[in-house]
Amino acid sequence: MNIGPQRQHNWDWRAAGNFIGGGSGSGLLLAAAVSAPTGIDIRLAATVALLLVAGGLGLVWFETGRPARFINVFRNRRTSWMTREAFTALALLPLAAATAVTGWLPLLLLTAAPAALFLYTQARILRAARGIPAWRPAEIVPLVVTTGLAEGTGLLLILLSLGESPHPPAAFPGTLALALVLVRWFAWHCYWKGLQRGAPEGTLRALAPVQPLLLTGGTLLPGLLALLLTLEPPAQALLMGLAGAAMTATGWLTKLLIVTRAGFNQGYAIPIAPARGGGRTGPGSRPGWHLPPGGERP
Amino acid sequence: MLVDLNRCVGCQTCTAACKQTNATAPGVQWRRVLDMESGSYPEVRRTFVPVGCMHCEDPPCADVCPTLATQQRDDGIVTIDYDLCIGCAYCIVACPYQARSRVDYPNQAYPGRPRMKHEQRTEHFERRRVAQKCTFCVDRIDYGLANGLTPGVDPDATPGCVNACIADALVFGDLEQADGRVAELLASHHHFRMHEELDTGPGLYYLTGPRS
Repeated sequence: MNIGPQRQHNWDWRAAGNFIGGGSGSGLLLAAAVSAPTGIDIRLAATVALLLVAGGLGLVWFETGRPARFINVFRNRRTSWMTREAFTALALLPLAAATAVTGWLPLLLLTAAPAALFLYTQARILRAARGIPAWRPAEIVPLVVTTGLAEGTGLLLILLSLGESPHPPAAFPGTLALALVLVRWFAWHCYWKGLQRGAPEGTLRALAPVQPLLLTGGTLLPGLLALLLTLEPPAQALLMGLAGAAMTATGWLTKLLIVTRAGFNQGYAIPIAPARGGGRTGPGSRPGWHLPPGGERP
Repeated sequence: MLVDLNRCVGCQTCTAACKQTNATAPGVQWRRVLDMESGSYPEVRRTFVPVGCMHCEDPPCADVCPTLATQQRDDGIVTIDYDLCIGCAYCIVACPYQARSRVDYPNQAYPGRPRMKHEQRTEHFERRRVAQKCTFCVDRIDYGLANGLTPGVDPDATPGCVNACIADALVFGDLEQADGRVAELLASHHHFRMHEELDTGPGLYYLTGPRS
């Protein structure tokens, strides 16, 4: 029997899809709401966001064992972040749909509130999974929130680049993108540093590729492009699309890896071995964990 | 529940008794015994560690359950209402003890061949595609209490694994009963709880040796 941490298989790519779709969709709504004065296509942004959020929830619905009982998910608003996510979705989805149909700016601004809550509930869902050392650190919350915002802003840049205008408004979205990739990198850095203080070896192995990927593809490249965008250069649409794609893709990959590949369980451990007969107690055992000297955190 | 690690010989009789009592599907073990090695040559130790649902004081599985299917009774036992559970597996990833499982398909010992008679008799359709775990044989405890028996003392009111233990390594009882065997053993022995740093307040105590 395996005693050390094992990769969990209960939440697979479908669960990751909920965090990807929900994070990007709600991030897009928030990015669209703050960028609205620059003249974005509200209908298009709300439609894409709606499809992402609804698609993510649909994926996770198919992952449940008894999907016909879905109504029971609303029973524990007192302590369950999954229930709170479901209630938030009840407000978010109709508002996003109404925004997609009407394209009315005040409605988009109103939708931003449940979108922000939705993003936060998703982050707290992972944080509450105390059996998975890669999900339960407090640093997962800012990471999931900032990457959702960065992915949403990335999608907004892509949508702007696909618009009819050869010179879409770039200064504000560019500044926003630059700020968010930097904040996301900081959030990742704190999260990764925290894991070094104690995590399953498998988790660290699974997330090791994220470090260079998020630095180069997720921060430096889009950051540089976003910096250029603030100067409103020629070939603006292309730069926007590239920056947006880099921000979004790296965020999705990070979440996919965190949920599916880095999700190792706690494993078993004993702090001491019992005394045998009249002997003394011995050292304990905690196989499969990376624990630096003097460093271990729950 | 107490586990005297000095007594456990790793015979897995508790595992077999649990499967026999609760008819769990192949591959699902509500009570397991780990064979752990620690130390390095020449000071190597081998310890048999029974594990399962720890029936935590602050069960993370109950906190995250969106359906209230997982509940903690007044006596501390954590239960699952199979009819409410949607099988979202959130409790499974919230449990630091790998005590929960979800079985989606009718498991059988010999796939592709007709199910054996005992498999047909104990299908437990209600447990399929939802979370399941050790219940401390709650039906036996409730039966015993209803009939004036004492859990941990009278076998009919005691979990199957405790009854079956050949070495008297498993002890069950009320932690709050000051003159009970559980309280007495805890007072007279060094003990620990697994993953205590996670603050779930696990209800399984491991005894490591008598206090001198």
